[in-house]
Amino acid sequence: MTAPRTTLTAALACLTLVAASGCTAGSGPGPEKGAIVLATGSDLSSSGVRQDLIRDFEKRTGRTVRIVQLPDTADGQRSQLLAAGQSGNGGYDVLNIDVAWTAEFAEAGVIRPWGTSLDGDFLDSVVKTAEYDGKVWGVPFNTDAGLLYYRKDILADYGHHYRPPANWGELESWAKQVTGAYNRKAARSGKGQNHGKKPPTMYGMVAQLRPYEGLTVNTLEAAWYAGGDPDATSFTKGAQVGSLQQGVGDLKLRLDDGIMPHEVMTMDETESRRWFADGRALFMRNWPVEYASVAEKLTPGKKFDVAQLPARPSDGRRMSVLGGQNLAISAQSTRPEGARELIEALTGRRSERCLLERGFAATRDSAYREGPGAPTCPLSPGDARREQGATRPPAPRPGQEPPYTRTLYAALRAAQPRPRSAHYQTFSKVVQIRVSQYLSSPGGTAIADRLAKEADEALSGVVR
Amino acid sequence: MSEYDARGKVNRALLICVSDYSNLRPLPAVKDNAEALERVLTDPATDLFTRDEVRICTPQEPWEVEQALDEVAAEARGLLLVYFSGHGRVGSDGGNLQLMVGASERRHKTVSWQDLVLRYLDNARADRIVIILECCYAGNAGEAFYSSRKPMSLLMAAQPNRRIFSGDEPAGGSVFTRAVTRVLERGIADRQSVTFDDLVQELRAELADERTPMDDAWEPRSAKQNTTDDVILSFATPGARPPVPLRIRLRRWLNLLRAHWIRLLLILAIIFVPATGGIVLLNLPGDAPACRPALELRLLTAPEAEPALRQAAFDYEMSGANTRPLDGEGIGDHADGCRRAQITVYSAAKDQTDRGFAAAGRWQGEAQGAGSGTPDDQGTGPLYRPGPQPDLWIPESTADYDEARRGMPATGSPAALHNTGPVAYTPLVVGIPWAKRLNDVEPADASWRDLLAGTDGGHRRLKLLRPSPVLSGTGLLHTVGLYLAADGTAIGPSGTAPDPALADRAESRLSAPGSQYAGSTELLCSLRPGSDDPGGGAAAGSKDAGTSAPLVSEKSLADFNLGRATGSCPALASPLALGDRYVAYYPKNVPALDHPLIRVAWRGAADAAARQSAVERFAQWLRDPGGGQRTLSEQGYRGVSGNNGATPQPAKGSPLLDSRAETDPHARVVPFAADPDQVAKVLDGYNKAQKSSQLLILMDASTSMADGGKLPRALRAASRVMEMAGAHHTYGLWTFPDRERSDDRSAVRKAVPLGSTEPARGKAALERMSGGLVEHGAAMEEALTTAVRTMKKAGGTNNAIVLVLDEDDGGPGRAADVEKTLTGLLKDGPEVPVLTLAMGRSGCDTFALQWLAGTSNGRCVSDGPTAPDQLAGLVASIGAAAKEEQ
Repeated sequence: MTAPRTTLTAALACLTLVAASGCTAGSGPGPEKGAIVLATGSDLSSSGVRQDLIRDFEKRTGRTVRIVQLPDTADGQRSQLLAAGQSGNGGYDVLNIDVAWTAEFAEAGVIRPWGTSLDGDFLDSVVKTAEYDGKVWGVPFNTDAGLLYYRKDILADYGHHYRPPANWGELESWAKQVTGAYNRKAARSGKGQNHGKKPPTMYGMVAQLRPYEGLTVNTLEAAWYAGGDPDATSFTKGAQVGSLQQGVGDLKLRLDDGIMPHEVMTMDETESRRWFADGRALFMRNWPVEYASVAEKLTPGKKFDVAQLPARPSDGRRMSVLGGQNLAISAQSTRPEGARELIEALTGRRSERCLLERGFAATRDSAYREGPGAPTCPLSPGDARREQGATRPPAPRPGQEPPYTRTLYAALRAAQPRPRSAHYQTFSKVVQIRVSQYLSSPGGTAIADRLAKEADEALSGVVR
Repeated sequence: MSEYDARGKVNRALLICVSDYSNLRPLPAVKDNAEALERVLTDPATDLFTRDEVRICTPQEPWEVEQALDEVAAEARGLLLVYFSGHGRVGSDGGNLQLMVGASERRHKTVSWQDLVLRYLDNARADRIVIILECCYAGNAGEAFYSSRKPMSLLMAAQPNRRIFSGDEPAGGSVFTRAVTRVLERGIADRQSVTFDDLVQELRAELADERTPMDDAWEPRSAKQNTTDDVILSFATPGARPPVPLRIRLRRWLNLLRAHWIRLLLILAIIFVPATGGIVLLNLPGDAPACRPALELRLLTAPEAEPALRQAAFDYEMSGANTRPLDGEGIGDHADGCRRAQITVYSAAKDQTDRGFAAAGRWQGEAQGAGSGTPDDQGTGPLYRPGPQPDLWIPESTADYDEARRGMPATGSPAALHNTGPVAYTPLVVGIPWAKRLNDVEPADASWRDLLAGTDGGHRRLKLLRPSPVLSGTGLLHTVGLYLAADGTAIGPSGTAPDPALADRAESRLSAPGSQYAGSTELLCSLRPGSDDPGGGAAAGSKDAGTSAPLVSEKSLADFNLGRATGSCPALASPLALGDRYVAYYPKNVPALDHPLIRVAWRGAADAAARQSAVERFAQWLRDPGGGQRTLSEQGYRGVSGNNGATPQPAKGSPLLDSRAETDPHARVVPFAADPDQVAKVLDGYNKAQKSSQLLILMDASTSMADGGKLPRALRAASRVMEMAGAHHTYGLWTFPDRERSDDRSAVRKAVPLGSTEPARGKAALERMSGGLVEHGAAMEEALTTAVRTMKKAGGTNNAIVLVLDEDDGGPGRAADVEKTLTGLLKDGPEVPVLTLAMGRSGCDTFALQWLAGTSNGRCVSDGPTAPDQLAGLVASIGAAAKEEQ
């Protein structure tokens, strides 16, 4: 322990440099050279509004942006960015990262602190996804919140015209009543039609319960509904005790009661949307991104509509998990100034308005405003191509917003980030494996109790 | 040896910890040492010291140490534990150990081990004294120690004359103390307590991987004086804890009564709290150490093995094995008990993996921000597919590894592959429908020749379905087996090449259209009874199930028969009915899939040592019968053989032991024997046995394709199809409607002429397409008529059309004879199967597309994540499609 170490001095020198220039090789004095490298999942490299915003930035600033296409799955993107960052091998400037990764990437030194606080125009709930350990690590680019899709027409046929269900209890009892009556009627009238095929059974509800990130999202929403606290990082302490068990118990009950079909355990966003759009479910939890695909088959506003998720009876909160992406500066960026400039441009007031108009959930409050003083989208309507990840059709006229926008706005303000832990990924794996086991088991609370314990263990990073 | 038990006596622990020095380098980790040790010593699990018996001393001046020693020496009656962590120095002769306190200067204001510490301890009233020294030259304390007169045990952090490179650890304490606390806190397996001798022994094991600054082994030392027995330092045990003896409980009771009567009242009150409450309180974990993110490992495998490896990786992550420090890990990078690695498991088709390794330079370049990742003339980048740069790769068999290596440049690749050997086996099988079991052929011992004869037109008339040897490891190894072990004898020595005539004969039996699939699980999924197969569409094969014999692996066939999840088919509530199952026939002497674990080292990784160590740890655990082998066995794999080389039998809990799996647990596992050259020759033989083929890709280029992100997905699928092209397998790319002649419904734009061999040209054309969609409805039937007419006339043997379609917009105003002409064309002359990728809202579920697939003997695939690979599998089958069965 007595050996004096020169590395310490070097580290100190480096720390001093961090304050000045970012402590990275190559970012010396003088203008930054080369294209700004933006690493992203595939959805940015195709045509679309986000691509258009990047091109607009290039035109205005004269800088070029090169988009590197990361693996096509979110897990693959995270894995590559994290591992390359740990190996000191990532040569990117801007990372387009899932909101659930902020804590881990910050802790692992893959991204650098943004340095300043975010302006007050960003939605408070969304800002939380960019914060960790008292610092801001990125800027919210586009966000998302879960919505309750419901069959307006069928519910009205069976006496529920006025509003979507207020809470899960109501949803479940309506589902049982309406699907029971509907299926009996369909069986009577369906005979002889449909080429002799049996008409499909109408189920109460579909959601995303395949073992992937969607299952974690649905589980968290169930746990929060059952009294869980989104800000807590433990499921075995204080008021949190039992919320996770109760939440997954509720999911299982919906499955065992036949409100959800058995197939829901293999469903992702697309597959559950297909069921709902095919008229095989009365309710669906899904992201607004599926709105347009449903609208291809069911008339929006007449046959189906969207609402916020059911309210928690104790306090009326309607908490969805926040989705979306943040833009962060890579810790190894050699063009931090350009990176910053690009991020600021892509997340500015006018850019966010463009995103909203083209079907994304904007992260700024002003984007949802109407009337004088509200920001306008600078892109020409001719650029309005439609893309994956955005709902469709785009606004009927430029400057307008999609029909579900007010509902989405309310849902976003009530939404909450997933547990902000450097070990979120392990937590999510635990949830996926244990919850699927539990849902397909004959029952018993042992797995659910084990889940809570293991979830805590996962979030702490420790093996006990 | 008797063990001294100090429970219930008046004990003292003095923890002297110096982290801040005025004149010496600070030791931040030492701060945590004090806290960690205090926590452990007062933990109910260790059951020795009470909270007020542990003192922490952080001395600035030597007199503070003196004072603290004086106090504890006077108070302790049972066990006195003295612990020092800080800087230490010795004289030039190695003697006269000096402990350094906060204000210590080089040669004065120090605490003399011999003259101060030992002198005070020698006058202590305690029964036993235990000293732990963690400082440089701690090992030099042993000498003076022998002059003391009290029963003392001394633990020295290192051997004599060694410094310690430690104390900078940012969190969780120094390496040595972390190990001490870990042992004391957890106890030792099969032991009811931790004694001084136990601790020494455990520490040696714990620190076995550490080095001293002199780069030799770091070895804690111990010494005893005036005592022969052992002292218990912790009662923690991983097993069940024995009840505390009555004499000790009485001793404690009396202590309490004497000293703390108020607390006694409280305890009485707690006794009346329900027992469960008490348990919860006792189980509350201490403050968990903050763990840094674990090292992210990227595990690439084949789609078939992905679910099982995902489960295994998860089990490893959550196991104690994953908390051992890694080589190359900075001291204190991770706190005690923190997970060291996390593993993301992903998969890619075999040809994509091969291409990735062959272009490892580009892979690395994309990861470093060089080059473009968008589809360009070189095709989609490896970072997109196969995906992340793997740290470990587990292909289905060694043949896959040989193939990948063959494609890599001899030198200069930034990826170095190290084969560490198999981690799991599964024999290759031919699934025979239960009702068509073969006469006179022994399932566990049949040669390929017998199997081919038994299934041929003269006998059971079964279609042999094999996954594509290009896309799937199962397909490749089955082909190796077919060509090299046809007569049931073992694969010959290196140099044995497959007999071309034999390859031709074998391939002629694998000629049914659609007989090749991207992978074995997707093949089986398509045979599942009653599946309405939402992705497979029109001609999907459950109707063929009873007349097919799939060439797959034992594991995937067992999954299929037992109704477990298979490819994109979800798990069923129960195993399949007997009549729907396939019986596994094991072709004799065909090597089993052996799943070698390949470590991949990427040039320039700053954390290469830690990464290598993490991969090796995982590999070791995977092969451990109590670790990964259990998980893999539960998933239906055979284990790797033990030391005696015996073929491992399925272990308890294996689905293979379920008789409804229709597999034979006693069937032999044949290790992989062919050499790389033989594998190459087999593939060469396969290619030669394939007739050349011509493919026409006909793409819908109407603007509706841009909706909802369909276009990039369609382009990706078309690009995947082009990757199948080569010298013998040519292609062309046509799009419709034609911008220049949008009024002519049957006009097509010939973006790439037929007969092209280079995928790059087509990919460039696809890239241009994203900006050039045509504002006009797409009249599919008319355009298809043009295409079919051309292909019918094109000559050659294996012609097919890949139709990528959003919606047929040509319905209104279609001339009456269009459909009739198309039908006639499709039915006449040489067969031209139409393989449709349906991007539209109804997928393959339309009358027109079902009719098209049926009439042309083609297939329809609905848009979805697996669509590109499904389509690629179908296209691979075109190579032999024209040869009719029987």
